[in-house]
Amino acid sequence: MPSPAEPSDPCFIRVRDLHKRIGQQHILRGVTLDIQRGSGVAIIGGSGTGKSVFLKLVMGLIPATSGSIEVDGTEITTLSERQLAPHRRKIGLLFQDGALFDSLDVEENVGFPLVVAGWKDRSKLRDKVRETLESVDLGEHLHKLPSDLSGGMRKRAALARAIITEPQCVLYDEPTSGLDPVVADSIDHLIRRTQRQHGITSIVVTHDMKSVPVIADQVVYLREGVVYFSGTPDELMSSRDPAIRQFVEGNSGETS
Amino acid sequence: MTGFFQRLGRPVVEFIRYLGELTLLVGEVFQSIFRHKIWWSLMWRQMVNIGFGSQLQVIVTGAFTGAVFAAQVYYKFNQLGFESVVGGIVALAMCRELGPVLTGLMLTSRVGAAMAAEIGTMKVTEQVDALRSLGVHPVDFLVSPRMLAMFFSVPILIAESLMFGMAASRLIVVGLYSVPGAFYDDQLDKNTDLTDLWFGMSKGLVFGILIVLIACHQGLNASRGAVGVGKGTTSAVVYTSLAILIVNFFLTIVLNFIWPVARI
Repeated sequence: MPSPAEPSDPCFIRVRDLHKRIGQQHILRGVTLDIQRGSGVAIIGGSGTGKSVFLKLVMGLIPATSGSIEVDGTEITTLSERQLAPHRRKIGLLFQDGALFDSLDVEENVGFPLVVAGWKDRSKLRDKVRETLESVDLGEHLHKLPSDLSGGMRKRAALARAIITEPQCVLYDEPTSGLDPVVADSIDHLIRRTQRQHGITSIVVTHDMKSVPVIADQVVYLREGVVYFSGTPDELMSSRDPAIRQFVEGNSGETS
Repeated sequence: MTGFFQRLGRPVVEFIRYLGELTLLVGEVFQSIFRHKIWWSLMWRQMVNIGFGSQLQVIVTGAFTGAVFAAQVYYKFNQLGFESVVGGIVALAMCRELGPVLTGLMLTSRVGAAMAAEIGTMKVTEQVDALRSLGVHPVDFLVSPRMLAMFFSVPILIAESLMFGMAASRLIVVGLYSVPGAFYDDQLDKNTDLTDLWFGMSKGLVFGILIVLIACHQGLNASRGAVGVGKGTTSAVVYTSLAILIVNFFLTIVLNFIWPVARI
């Protein structure tokens, strides 16, 4: 049974011995992790180490094989799809490709979570959408369809959709992948600004080591399905562990 | 020998599992419609798409089926001197079989394929997961509005198909082959009554439910990108067409107990 959260509990997400198998692959092999309220956490690791899978598990989009995930004091691994709905509304998720709804324009996409939340007053809804789009520098593209937006604009629109209900936590799945360095940097600062302004817990899956000091107070390095390192960005950068150094420096060890 | 039974058994198990998944989806749709939020705006949009958008296809199919069936029946019955009964036979066939079955098949190709492709694309581009992440159950948003729209649209489409089929039949038999209109109308009146209409409507509703269920199930289970969406769409059309033809046989048997053919 889900237990009610202690309001004073500083830990927003508590993961214990989390395992996930997909087919024959054992992707997560016992992840244990605490994420504090209002913190910025970067999850790094090689391709296929289960970073995106971890986000989907926290959101309850895929079932865990075993282990425990407690979000805001509620154990979510035992909840049904319908029971998960209120829990999901506490968290925003920015998908890697945005996952904006094709058939809706930017305004409708961004306003969708408010419609789900039961907002009836159209003018208030429109004002809130415009205000949120302004905050992600996308105020002039209200009536464009997702197919008419650039990659950076799609991410901004998706970010606006993820934060419009002012959730307690936002999960970002590779928010800067496929973007040029300038746009990537602006997205990084946008994430940090959003986190600080609204006190939102941010969990960012990224490969981009340049982003890490900008977006994170805590860095978690996943390797072979477990938490290999957890510490501050400075501790990560100064680590002498060969596996961490290789990842941070992006050194494949090959010569041409 | 074991290998033989395994090869034989696997498709059977798969088929039973498939039926189980469809049954669970039926339960989920009922739960969604009666207990959870109904997205009326989406239902209206789907009604425009399913009902209004399919009219031309359904009317043309009904009209030409009625015309060609009337012509064929007339050729044979004219030899026997029974050409006046053509109206009754065409009306009976249109109401009880051709109207609902051909409307069902037309809707499968036009609406079922589109549903499977649209939902399948949403699935593989993570839009379905985005819905879930926003606390919206995919059945509430994607399946139930389509099911309700189909439920309200199918009777109207079938009525149109029958009306145009019978009108075309009269045009051919009375207009082209000069059978007296009074004889034609008299036979039509003697051979058919309102129960034939209920018969056809009931079949149409079942076919409509099958179209939405199978197409949405294929869409929601799509995987592996564009290839997966293509396969899902093809499967939706093939499975639904087969299901309509097979279920039609059983419905004919059962519904004939409820609404038997009118005695002359």
